[in-house]
Amino acid sequence: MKLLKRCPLTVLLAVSAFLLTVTAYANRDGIYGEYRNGQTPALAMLFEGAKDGVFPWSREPGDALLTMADAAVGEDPGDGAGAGAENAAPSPDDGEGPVPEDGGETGETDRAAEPKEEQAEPEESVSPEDAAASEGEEGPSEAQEEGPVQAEGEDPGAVPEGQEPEAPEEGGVPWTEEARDENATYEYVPVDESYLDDALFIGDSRTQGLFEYGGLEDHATFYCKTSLTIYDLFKNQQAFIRTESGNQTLEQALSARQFGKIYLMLGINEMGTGTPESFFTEYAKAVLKIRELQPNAILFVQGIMHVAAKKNASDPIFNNFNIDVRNVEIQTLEDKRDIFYLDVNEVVCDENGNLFDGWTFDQIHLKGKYYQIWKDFLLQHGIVREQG
Amino acid sequence: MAGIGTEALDSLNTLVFSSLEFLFRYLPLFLLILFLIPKKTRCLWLLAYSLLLYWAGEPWYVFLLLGMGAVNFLFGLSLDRRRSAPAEEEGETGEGPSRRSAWEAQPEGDWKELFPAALGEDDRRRKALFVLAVSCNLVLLAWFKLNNAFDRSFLLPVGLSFYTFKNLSYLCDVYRGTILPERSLIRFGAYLCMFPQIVSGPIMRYTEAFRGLLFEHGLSLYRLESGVKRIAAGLAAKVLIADRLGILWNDLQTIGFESISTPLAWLGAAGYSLQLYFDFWGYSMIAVGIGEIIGLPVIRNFHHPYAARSVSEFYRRWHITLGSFFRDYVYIPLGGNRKGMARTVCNLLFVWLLTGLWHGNSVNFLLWGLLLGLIIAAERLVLRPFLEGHRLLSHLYVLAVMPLTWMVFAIPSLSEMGVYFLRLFPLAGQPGTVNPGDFLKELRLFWPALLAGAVFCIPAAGRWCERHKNGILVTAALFFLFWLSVYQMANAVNNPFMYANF
Repeated sequence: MKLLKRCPLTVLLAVSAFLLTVTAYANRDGIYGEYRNGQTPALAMLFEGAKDGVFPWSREPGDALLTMADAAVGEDPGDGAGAGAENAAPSPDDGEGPVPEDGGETGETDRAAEPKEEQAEPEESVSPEDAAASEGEEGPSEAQEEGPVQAEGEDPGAVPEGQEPEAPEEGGVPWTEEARDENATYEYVPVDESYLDDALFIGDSRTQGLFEYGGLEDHATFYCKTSLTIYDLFKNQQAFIRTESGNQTLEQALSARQFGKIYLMLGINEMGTGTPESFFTEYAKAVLKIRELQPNAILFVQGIMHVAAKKNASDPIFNNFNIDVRNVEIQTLEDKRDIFYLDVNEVVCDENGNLFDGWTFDQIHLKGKYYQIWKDFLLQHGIVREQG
Repeated sequence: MAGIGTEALDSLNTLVFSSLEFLFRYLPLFLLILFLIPKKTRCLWLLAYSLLLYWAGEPWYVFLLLGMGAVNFLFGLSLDRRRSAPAEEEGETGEGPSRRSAWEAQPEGDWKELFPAALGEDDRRRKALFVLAVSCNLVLLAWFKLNNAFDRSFLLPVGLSFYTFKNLSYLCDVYRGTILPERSLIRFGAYLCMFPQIVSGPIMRYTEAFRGLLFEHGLSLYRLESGVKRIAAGLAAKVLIADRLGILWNDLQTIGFESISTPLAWLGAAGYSLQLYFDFWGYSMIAVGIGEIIGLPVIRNFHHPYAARSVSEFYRRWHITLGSFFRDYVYIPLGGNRKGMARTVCNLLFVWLLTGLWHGNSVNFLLWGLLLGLIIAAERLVLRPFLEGHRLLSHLYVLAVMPLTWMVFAIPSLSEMGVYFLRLFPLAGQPGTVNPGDFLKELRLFWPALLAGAVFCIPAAGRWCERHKNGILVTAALFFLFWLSVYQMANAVNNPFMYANF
């Protein structure tokens, strides 16, 4: 007691540090399992957890973590259902109930469908049967899933209010019809800035940079956020879009307004977590979801921009090899009809594929004035689809 | 950290105060054992522990540190003035009263006054020895700095600039006879190597450290509490203000100076000025806090510099132990301001050139030192009466000029520096890719740190905290700030991209 009176701060700090350490140790195999590392003092786990919303009194291990563990592992059925609701991605499997590996299977379906389309790509004219067949794999399953789910309300995360007016009219059916009618593929043509008047950009801080320094603020719309990842793109907690009527989630925003073109660049923040496979699974889901919410938009999936040489050489995770692994996967989504792959690395990288050294300070982001190059690249790669 | 950016600090969690390992492992362990062991062994413990921490981070350069310590210890002994007065020698045991009075002598003064023209044989020998000793230290420092200048991947040993200056001040003081040389290698080693001061000062004089290193008096709980408070406050200054504002400066570089708006350029300069101050001040405060717990005197390394009314006053309040080193061991021996105006100006420029070189060895540091030398000379020659007569204008003058000089300090590339100054003063108009909303965006992100920084630049705020430091409010605030800092640190450790969330 005397000690507390004479050195209150010292005693308080010592006692609290002790208690925190004990708490961290007690839970080191439980809720803090993910944060264990032999080097930093144990109490660091508490603070790292607190940042992710994990507290000693949290029930589930890492319940607020946005890792793909939820979707991909999901060992107990309850967890799987939770993931489905959280991701709110009406994947084909959702209709089948709480199947553990719903995420994984979606990915496989997509990729199973993709090679066919890719093989067909080089030929200018795709046979209607082929297109119908490949579409058929996605189309019917979506239609199937959309109908029952909304009627029976099995999928709690699907926000029926937002979709109902659009889904029946513009949703699955018109889109597949359109695709069946216009099975021709398209080539890139130069366009001017007004082309982007009905364009939407979705991305992380690099897209934010394009917004701030690309000079497109009078034309395009930008839904982007620093450190946005594909995993939390459609999360309900992620109301990152500021509108006059308050913050909106991407789903709300995409339901409220239709765009003509949507540019997507995501993937660098995700490299520290998960695998290329889990990343692509989520990416494909997100593209599907955007497709569904924005049936008439031309979707540009952009390859992840490379990092500069120093980073590439020194970073075991954030290097261009790992970026390219993901880019190859992203490219498989391209169908040249309404999904197009754009790789800005063509114009911002040197002969070794590294971001030009003088164009970046932090080895990752372009300096302000070089966003112009990215914009010009996009304007060189417009897709014009006449309405038929 | 200010001025030591070229050193291999990244891998040195053992010596970085603002690391969780240091705060929750190395420091408590040290203090716990220090409080438990007998008085007589405390100095040895301090030395051993300091060497251990240094060794953990710099396995090879610890031998350099040890070597320099031993060499300077021997030089000190052989420079002993009493050698020329054998009668005194026997009577002294090293800790007697004459020693006490010796430290109280003023270290300032012209060498020539101490050693008048007629030099005896012994004096000549001492002089030669002194020159040799000082050269040894300077050559070593210069060798490392030059290597680093030509090859940036060649890193300086941690703390070299600081412990070399400690050695030099010790040698000078012994040579002048203002102190008697230390006879205990352990005590001298502890002075030189002590972990609270090895990385970035303060450059404590031997006269100041000596009494504490005797560990004559027991450790007191009062000092423990006071030291812990300093540590908590210093940590908050460093982590919550300086590190946060570091992100602002990083943002500016990421955008590229050519694309920042003029308001943002000024915000960046202001933010950098605060960042540097709170980084170094916070660090010094932690060092002083640890020293206070051990029993060292509380020395003031910063004294509200931004409240100064001239640049020369600013540098009497900024990194005071470095400024006083240059004043006592370079400026005054060169004649200071007593040899006429021309000589004074030359002395000032020379001292400031050295100060610039000490901080770093790229061109911008030379330029920075020269610029400050010129400004201070101009103040002495012309501006002083004006500044003294106009209270408000003199404050504004300092607040406007200091950030500009810090920009010279901060930007190593001269062409980039030029770009930055053209953004500060947009004489050439605005380039095409500036986002006019950038200022508000960054302000929205950083206003809490900027505001807190600005408030604690006001002397009254600091005085209030000092006065109420034992009150419940300040104690509770420090408790909260400490854990908030820990929260920030914990989440920066495992995030290698503290500066870059993409």
